[in-house]
Amino acid sequence: MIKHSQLKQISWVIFFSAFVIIILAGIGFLITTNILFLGFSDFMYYLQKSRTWINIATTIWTASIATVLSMFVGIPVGYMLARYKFPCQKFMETLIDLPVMVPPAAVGIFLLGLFKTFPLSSATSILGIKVDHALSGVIVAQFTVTVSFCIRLTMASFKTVSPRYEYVGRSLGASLPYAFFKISLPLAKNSLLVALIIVWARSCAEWESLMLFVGGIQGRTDVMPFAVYLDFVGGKLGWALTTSMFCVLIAIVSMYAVHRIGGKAHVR
Amino acid sequence: MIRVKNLRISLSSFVMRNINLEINTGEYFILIGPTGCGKTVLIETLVGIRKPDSGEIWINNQNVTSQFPEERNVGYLPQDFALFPHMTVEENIAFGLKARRKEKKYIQSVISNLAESLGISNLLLRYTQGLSGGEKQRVALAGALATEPEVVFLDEPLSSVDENNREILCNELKEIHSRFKTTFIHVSHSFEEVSEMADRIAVINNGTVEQVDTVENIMYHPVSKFVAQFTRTKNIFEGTTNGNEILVNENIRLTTKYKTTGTVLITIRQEVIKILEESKESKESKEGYDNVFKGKIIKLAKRNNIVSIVIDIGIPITIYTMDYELVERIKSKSIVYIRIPIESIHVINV
Amino acid sequence: MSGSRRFVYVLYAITILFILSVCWLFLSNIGYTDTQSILELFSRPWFWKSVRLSLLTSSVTTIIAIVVGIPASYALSRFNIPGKTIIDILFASVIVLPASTIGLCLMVAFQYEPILKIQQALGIRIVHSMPSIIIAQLVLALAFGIKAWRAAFDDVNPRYEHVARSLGSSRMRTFWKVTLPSAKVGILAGIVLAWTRAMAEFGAVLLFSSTFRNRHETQFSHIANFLGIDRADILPVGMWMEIEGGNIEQGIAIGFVLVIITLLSVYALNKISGKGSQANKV
Repeated sequence: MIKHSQLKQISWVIFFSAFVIIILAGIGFLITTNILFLGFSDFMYYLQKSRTWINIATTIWTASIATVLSMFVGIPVGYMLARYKFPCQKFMETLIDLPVMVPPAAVGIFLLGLFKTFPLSSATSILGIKVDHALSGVIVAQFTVTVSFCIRLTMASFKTVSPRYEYVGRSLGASLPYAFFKISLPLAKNSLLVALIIVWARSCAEWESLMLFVGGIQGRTDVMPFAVYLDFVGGKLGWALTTSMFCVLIAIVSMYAVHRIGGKAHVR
Repeated sequence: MIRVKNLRISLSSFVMRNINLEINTGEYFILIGPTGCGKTVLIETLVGIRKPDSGEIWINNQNVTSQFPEERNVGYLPQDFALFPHMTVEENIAFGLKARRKEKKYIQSVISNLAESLGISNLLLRYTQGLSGGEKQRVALAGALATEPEVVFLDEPLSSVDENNREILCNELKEIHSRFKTTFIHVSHSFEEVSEMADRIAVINNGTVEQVDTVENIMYHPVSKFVAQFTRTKNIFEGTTNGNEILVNENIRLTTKYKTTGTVLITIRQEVIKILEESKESKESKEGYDNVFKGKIIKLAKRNNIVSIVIDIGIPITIYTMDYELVERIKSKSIVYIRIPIESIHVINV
Repeated sequence: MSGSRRFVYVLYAITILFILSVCWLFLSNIGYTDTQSILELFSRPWFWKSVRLSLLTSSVTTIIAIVVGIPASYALSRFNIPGKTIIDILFASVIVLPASTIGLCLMVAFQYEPILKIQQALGIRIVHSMPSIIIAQLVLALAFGIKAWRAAFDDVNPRYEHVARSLGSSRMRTFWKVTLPSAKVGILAGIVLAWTRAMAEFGAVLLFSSTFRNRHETQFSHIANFLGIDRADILPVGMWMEIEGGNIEQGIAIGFVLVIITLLSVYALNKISGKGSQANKV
């Protein structure tokens, strides 16, 4: 016999959990229909195509370079934002957030303009770097969109470390850089690793800004998300879906890794 | 020697001003005040974490006001000690010496000497997470003392230690201080906790230093009502004086050594008031026994071996005593006599 | 100069340089548009229809996200739902999914034979319809919203709820009067975030809904005509179409409109969450 109060408790839990189930049902609907549509034999067929694997390899190495570059900017700027105050802090933070919050397609067109304007136009032509229709452009776009993301995450990482450790270190005679490398950086290690993984996964997923900035050429600039779009437009739906499955796989594996490491920093 | 001259520190909501302190080498100096009085801010400024608006800080005849913490040669133990969790005890102690790029041999010898002297040799290879409060304190002190600082700052180091161990840790701190003869500046919010350790105390309230003095003087000669209350003086009254007589109310006249006029504040420590027994020195004003009053016991309670008695003599007077036999004898009496020694009456001009 | 001072200067220099670079990324493009194009853009009814459509869809998306997402976040924050780890990982993955994948997934799901038949039976077609914009925007808006709302509920100590319940307040009342107000700042930040994300959605919409500007008048419902959003595109898609069509000046002008909208909403977001962090300190 269930008591009245127990019934109330159960219905309360069920009411809220129902919304979780609605969302899960939505996700489940998307996944099952896609898997059913693609079919196993098609999936296996596209797996044998070398272009599928080349795309995966290209995505992984461009995203890795972009991530490393992001971290080189993200760690100092994130540390700065976590520890120091400066004038118009909120406005400055807003500017820093802009590249990731503005529609990525807009970032793409702005990047295009940026590289056609002095000084970058001259710099790239002198150095002989080509950004449009080239992988260097892909890396630039991935970097631009993820760097703001990265700064947010590193800032949160450094905020999880109490500044008191640094104070003690400095009172013991450590200069700020010494305290940074020996105390703050090792203590924020886990959260920074989480930040790194999220930034990498986000880089792997960048596509919209590439559309206008780099332009798609099959076999040259088609990182996975771009290949999904090109194949879709080109009518190769099965191939687009196979590549898209790998994108989902990368996202889930990265988030699983994040969960396992369990840093406290979170995405926004 | 540490000198603080006219220091002014402002925070978003509150200002500390006119901070003047002189702390002698080797002294155990305590900064005390209620929560939010600014004592932690002050110590952070002395360590170099905060910048003051104006004023100067001198450590050993050197103006360090604009120096970074690492240039000041100080030790700093914040609340919970903030031992580095990613290092072993040994690496924690060695941190300051490594930062100063000392030789390996020298570092080793310093660590082993300190560890032995503080009784933590067996902990050197452990990480700091599992250490007890006392062990943490010793490791933190070892780390600070390894660099031979001019002064060690302790910011409420005992706040997270439970009450039973607090006294032991207090004694240990005092003992280490007397062994190493380094200047200690200790911040606390509890007078009971630190009154036995201090050479001198500075009482801070609301952003200013109210009084700097020995423990004795702070207890028996407070400069303000706040200091008297903070040191747990129970008998604080207002009165008007004319010459060396104070009128608390119509029936109660106190004789003092002081000659003042106008409205004053009187503080009398609860442990110096005597309870008189009828048989011996009874009745009113004998020679030298001016301040004798008759009253009724209205409250009697025992706490921590001390009996606290409240006697109503027209105003309630609190008396602390440890003479249990006396308490037994007077317990049932309706009327008792008390004498307030003339030298125990402290007068503060309002 | 001491090491510490040099280090601080280097940090400041990198930060300032970065902020200037961000500004330059946008400002360097001013030369690619001009006042005349902007005025021309503003005089086109298509542009204002698009603005209305963008605001309308992202607002509706946000409202749906609130209705579904806030209770779900509360459930995830408070109850021991079986498989919570998997749910967490799944929801977090959506955030780092490419927009093209999301768009394609939606496309395939709603074009799948049995689903299509259901749609035909009901006399509707979701793919390439205007309501499909909302579905495409909802995916990311919901993912980001839940992340923020869940953090907001996690920050509210359940002890407040226990106290309120012990004082005789019912569960519903406690939720409305204690939990929601305590998590107010985080919830508000989550709403602004969801709206900003919905506004910025481009790829999924492009794949799933396509464009509407070249369609015939008769293809739009009375509601769309009434709201004045027929033959319009959401702003990011509109920008892309302009640039693909060679109308770079007006495309960039739309880009700036989007930057200004984002700037305002992110500034609001930072202001709101800034308040939250201060409240936490006290």
